[in-house]
Amino acid sequence: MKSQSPLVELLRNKEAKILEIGKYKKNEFDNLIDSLAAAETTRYQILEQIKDSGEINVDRIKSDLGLSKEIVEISVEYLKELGLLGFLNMHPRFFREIIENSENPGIFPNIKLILEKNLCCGCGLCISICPVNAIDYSEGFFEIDENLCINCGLCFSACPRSFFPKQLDKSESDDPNIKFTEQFGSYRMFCTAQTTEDRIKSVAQDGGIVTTLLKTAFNQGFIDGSFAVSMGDQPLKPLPIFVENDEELLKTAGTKYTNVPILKLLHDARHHKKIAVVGTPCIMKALKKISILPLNKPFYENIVLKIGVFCMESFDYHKIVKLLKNEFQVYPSDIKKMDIDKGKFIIYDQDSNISKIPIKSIKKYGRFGCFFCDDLTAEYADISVGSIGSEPGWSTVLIRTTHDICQKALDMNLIIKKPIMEDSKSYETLSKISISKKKKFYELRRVKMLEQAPGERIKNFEEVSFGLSDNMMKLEAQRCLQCGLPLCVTGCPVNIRIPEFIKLLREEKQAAALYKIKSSNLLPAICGRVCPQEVQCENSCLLGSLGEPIAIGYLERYIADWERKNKLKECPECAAPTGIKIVVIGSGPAGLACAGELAMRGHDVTIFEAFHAGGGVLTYGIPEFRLPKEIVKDEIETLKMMGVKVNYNAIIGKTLTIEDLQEMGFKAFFIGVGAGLPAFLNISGLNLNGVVSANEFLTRSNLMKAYRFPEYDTPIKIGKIVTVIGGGNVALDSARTALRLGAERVIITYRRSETEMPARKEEYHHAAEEGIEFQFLTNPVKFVGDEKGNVRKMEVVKMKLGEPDQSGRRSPIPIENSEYSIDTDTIIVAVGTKANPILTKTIPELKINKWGYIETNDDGQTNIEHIFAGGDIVTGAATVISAMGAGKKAAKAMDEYLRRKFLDEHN
Amino acid sequence: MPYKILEKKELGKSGVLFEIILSTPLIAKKAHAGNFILLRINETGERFPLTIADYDRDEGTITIVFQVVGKSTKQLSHLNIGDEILDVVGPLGNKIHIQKYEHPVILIGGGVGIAPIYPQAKELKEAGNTVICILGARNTDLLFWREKLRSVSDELIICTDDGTEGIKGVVTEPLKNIIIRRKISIVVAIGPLIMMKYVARTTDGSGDLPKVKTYASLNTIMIDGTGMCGGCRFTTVQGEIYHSCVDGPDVDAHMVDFDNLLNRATRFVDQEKESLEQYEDECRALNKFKNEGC
Repeated sequence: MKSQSPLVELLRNKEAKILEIGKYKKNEFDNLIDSLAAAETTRYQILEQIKDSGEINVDRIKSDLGLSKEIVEISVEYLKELGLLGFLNMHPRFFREIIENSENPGIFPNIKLILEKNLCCGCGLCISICPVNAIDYSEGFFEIDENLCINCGLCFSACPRSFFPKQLDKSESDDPNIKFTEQFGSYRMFCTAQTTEDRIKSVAQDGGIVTTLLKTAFNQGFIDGSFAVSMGDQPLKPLPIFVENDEELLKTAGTKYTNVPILKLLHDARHHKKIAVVGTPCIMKALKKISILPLNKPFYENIVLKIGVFCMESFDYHKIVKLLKNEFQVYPSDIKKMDIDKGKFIIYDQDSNISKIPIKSIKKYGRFGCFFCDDLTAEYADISVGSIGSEPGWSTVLIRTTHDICQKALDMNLIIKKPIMEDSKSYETLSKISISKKKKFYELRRVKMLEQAPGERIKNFEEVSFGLSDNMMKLEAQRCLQCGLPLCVTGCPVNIRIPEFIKLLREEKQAAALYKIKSSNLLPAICGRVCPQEVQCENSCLLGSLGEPIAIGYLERYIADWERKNKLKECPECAAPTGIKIVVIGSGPAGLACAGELAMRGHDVTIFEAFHAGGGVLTYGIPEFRLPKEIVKDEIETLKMMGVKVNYNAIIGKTLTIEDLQEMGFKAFFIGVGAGLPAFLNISGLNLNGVVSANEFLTRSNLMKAYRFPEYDTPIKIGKIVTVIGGGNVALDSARTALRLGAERVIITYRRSETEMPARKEEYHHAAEEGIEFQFLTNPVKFVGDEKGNVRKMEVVKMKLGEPDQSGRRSPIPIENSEYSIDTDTIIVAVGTKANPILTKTIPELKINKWGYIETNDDGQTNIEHIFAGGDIVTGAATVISAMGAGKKAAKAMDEYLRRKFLDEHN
Repeated sequence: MPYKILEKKELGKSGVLFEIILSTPLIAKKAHAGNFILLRINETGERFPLTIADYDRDEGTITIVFQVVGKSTKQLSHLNIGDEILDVVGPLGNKIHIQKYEHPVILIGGGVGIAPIYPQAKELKEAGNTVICILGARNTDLLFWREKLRSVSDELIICTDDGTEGIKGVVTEPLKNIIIRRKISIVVAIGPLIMMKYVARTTDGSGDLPKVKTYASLNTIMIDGTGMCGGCRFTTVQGEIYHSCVDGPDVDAHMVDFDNLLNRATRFVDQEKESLEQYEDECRALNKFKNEGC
C-alpha cells in the first residue's frame, strides 16, 4: 500500500541504506515504520478533515476519528509546524519561510538549521533519533555528515528547540495535591533534603539526593540502568555514560558544568526496560518532546525515572577553558570544584583555595543555546534537585509526579527532609532566580510600529511611522534575551550598549536608557530611523534565529522620541576645556559624530557647512517623511549646547582654505564632506529635460522644500510617469517623493534582483506598500525624447545574474534581444555618488586614491598628521551609522594626537 | 552671519537693472574675475547664482548686478540699503585664467552680462593686454557701466538691436569685422545663451572667418554650486557631460552644445511664471494695503 505520508514513503525507500548502517535490525525497523505510519495516518486523516471542512473543529475531529482531544490538538500543532496549514493562515512558529517553501512538503528540514541558528541546547537526542548515524558530537560541536543524511527530518521533529507544542507545557491541574506556580511549574512537594549515607555525602555535591535516589532505585529494582555523566579522562570534560548498577553510579556523583549530550545514548539503551535519566532542564524537555513522536516504543516508554537538576546555563568545554583562563588565569587541571553561591561563581583549586567572581561576568561564556532557555528547575522532570535555596550539604528538591522513589527513600531513612515554606528565604531566593530566567520571547511577536496608511501617506510628507507607544516599548523590551554574549553590540558600528539600554527600558528607566545610548551615540533619533538595523545589530540578534530579532531600531527611536516629547536635551558631560581649536568640515553624520565626541573630550570645535542648513545628507538627502528635519535641527542644537559652533555657507576650499583656518588658530581638521557628486549613466539622452539626478531632485524637495512650492520658491517638476533608476535608499526616497508630489505612476528599475537591493528593508517594504512598481533585472539603454527635448521613453534591457563580483554580489549581464521600452516623462538617476574634489584639490599634498577618496589609516588620520577624515569621502557611499562610527573613531584619535602634541600628555 | 546691502542703485533707464554692493568680507577676500555667488534671500527663497561683478578686498564687499526676470530677482530689487540677505555663499566656480596674450582680447557683454565682463577686462588690462570690449543690448536704456568699462578697455564698441545707441545690430557684427581684420588671441562672451551661441558660431572657424579661442560664461540653473546636484550640467558637442558650477562658469564656447542648454534653461518656465505672478499679486496687495494707510 502506498503511504499517504511522505515521511513513511521516504523511510521505506531508504530501508536498505538504514539497515546497512546497522542502527536498526529488520524487525526494529519494521516496528518503527509501523508506529510511524499509524501516527502519520492519523495526522493526514486530521488534515483531510480540516481541508474538507475548511476549519479546525477539535470536537468534531475527535468524535469522527475516535481520538483523544490531546492527540488531535498535538497533531494539529504538528501539521502546522510542518507548514501544511498555511491555507488556514496557520504557519510554523519558526523558520516559516524555509519550511513552507521546502522542496519536500510534509518532511521537516534537518537539524543543521537549529545548529546554524545557535538554538541547539545540546541534549544529543538527534544523535539517537537519526536512523543512519549521520549526526555526531565531539568537543562541544555537533556535526552532520551530509553524505549519510537521508533528509528525513526526524532529528528536527524530535528536537526540543525546533518547536514545542504548547499542549506539552506544564499547566495548572485539578489535582488538589499539585501546586502550580509560574516560576517552578507543577509540583507536589517542595523541600530541602540530605542523604543519610556518609559514603555518598563524601563524593556527592550538596545533599547527595540524586545519587541516593538512583541507588535506591537500583536496589529496589525500580530501574535497571541510568544515564549519567562521568568525569572523563580530562578535567572538566565529562562524558555521558550508561550505568547499570549503584557501584558504577557512585563514580558519577558531583556536578559538572560542561554540557553533556547524554541523550545520544538513548538509542544504545533501548534494550533496557527501566531506565533513569539524570539531566539538565533541556534534557528533560527533550524527553517531553519525544513523548509525542511515534518513536515512543524503542525510546521513550522505557524511561521510568527522570531526575532533573537545576541549571542556570552550561558551558561548552572550550568555553569553560577560556573562562578559567581569562577570569581566573588557571587551567582545568588546577580546579578541584566549581560552585555558584550568592550571585558568585566560585572555584576551588587543588589546595582548596577559593576564588570568586560575579555570576554576571561568566554569562558571556555560556552556550548560545542556553540564552533561549527559560527553565531553571527542570519543570518536565519527575523530581528536580538543585543547590539553590538550600544550606550547604543540603539539596532543594521538587517532587513533581507521583513517582514513589522519593517516598521510598524517605521511608527507608536514606534521605531526610525539611519542608520549604512559601514565606521562607529559600523559596524567595529560588523564585527570584527562576523568574530571572523566564523569558517572554515565546509568547511575544516582534512589535510593529503604527504607521500612516499607505493610501493616506502618499498624499503628504509627514513621517510614515508614528513610533512605539509606552506599552509597545515594554512588550518589545521584554523580548530581549539579555544574553551574555550580546552579538548586537558587535553588530553596531558604534557599539551602542544595546542590552543594557533595553534592560533599563524594561525597568521603565527611560532617562537612564537615554543616557546609556547617548554615551555611545549622540544621534539616536536619527539612527533609530535611518540605520539599516537588519544588516547590523538586529542581524546579529539571537532572537533572529527564531525568525524575529528584537526591534532595536524601534527601541532606539522610542527613547529619542521620549526625550523630545519630554523636552529634555540630554547632552553628555564634557571634559575640562583644553582650549584647542578644531575644525570639522561638513555637518553630515560623520562631522556631527566627530564634533560631538571632540566636544565631550573638552575641545573647542567649529563646524563649517557649505549649505545654509546643517545635517548633510540627513537634510538634503533623506526626505521629511523618513526623517523629519526638526529632529536633525534638534540634534545639532544638542551639539551647540556642548559648545560646538556651527558656521553655515562656508565652503572650505572656496570661502576659506585650510591655511586660512590654521592662521585663525585651528590645530586639527576633520574632513567629513561626504561623497556628494552624482554618478550619471553614460547613455544617450541624459541631458533631455525631465532627466534629473536623484541628488538634484531630493535636494530641491528636502533642503529647499520644493514640495511646498509655491510657498517656497524652489520649483520641482514631476511628470505623470516617473522612472527611477537604482536600488538603494536614494532611489526609494526619490520614488516615494515623486509619488507624494503627485506622480500617477512610479517605477523603479534596478539592474540586479530584489535580493541584491542595498536599500533598507523597511523602506522597500514601505515603498511597495505605497504602490511603487519594481522592475528588477532591468537596465536602461537610452533615453528617448520628443522634438521639444523632453524625455518620453526609456529603453531598457533585461538582465540576468552572473558570477559574484568583488562586492560579493552577482553581477548583472544583459540578456540579448530582451530590449523593451518604458513610457515615462521623468527619469531620476539614482545610481550612486562620487567624491567631490572641491576641498581635496586645494590640499595637493593630501593623499587620495584614484577615485578621489581620501586615504586614511584605521583611526581616520590622513598622510597629513593634523588632518583626519571619515565617512563617505573615505569609504565611498555607505551608511549614516558607519559614517558616524568613522567620525567618532577619528575624534578619539584626534584627541590623543592633540593631547600628545599640545598638552604634553602621554598615553 | 548677516549679509548686509551697503549700496544699491538702478542701472540704465529700464527699471529692471540693479547694482548692489554687499558686505561679504570672507567672499571679497577670495573673489576673482569669473567667480560667482549663490544667494538665498530669505527662509522660503531659492538659491540662485549671480556673477561677482566687482570686489573690494579692503572694504570686504562684492558688487552684484542683476536684471529682474523672475521672482527672486524682483524680490532682490525690492531690498534696500541696510537690508540683509539671509544666505550668500561663494566665491564659486573657477576664476578666469589671466595672462598677457600676444594679440588683443575681445570681451563681449550682452545685457546684464555687461557687468561680469568688467572684472575680466580689468584684470586682463592690468596683465598688459589690449582689451576690446563690445557691449550689446536691446536698446540704450538697458546699457550701463559704459565709463567704467571704457576705463579698462583700449576700445569700446556699443551696439543696440534698435539702434538707439551705437551700432544698430547684434554684437556678432562688430566681432566679425574685427576678427577679419586683425589677429585676436581670445574672445570672452557673457550674456544671453543665444548671444553666446552666435558668438561661438562666429569664431569657430567653420565659415570664412578665422577660428578664435572663445570662452562663454554659463549662467545655468543650479542649487548648490559645488557639483552636487548636477542641475547645471551641459553637454559638449561630443556628448561629454560637464558642470558649469565646477567646470565653469567660463568654458570653451566651441565645445558647448548651446541648443541643449537653451532647452534646459526652459525647464522650470511654468513654475517661474507662477512664482513671479504670485509674488506680484502679493506686492500689489501689500501696496494697496499701504496706500489705504492701514
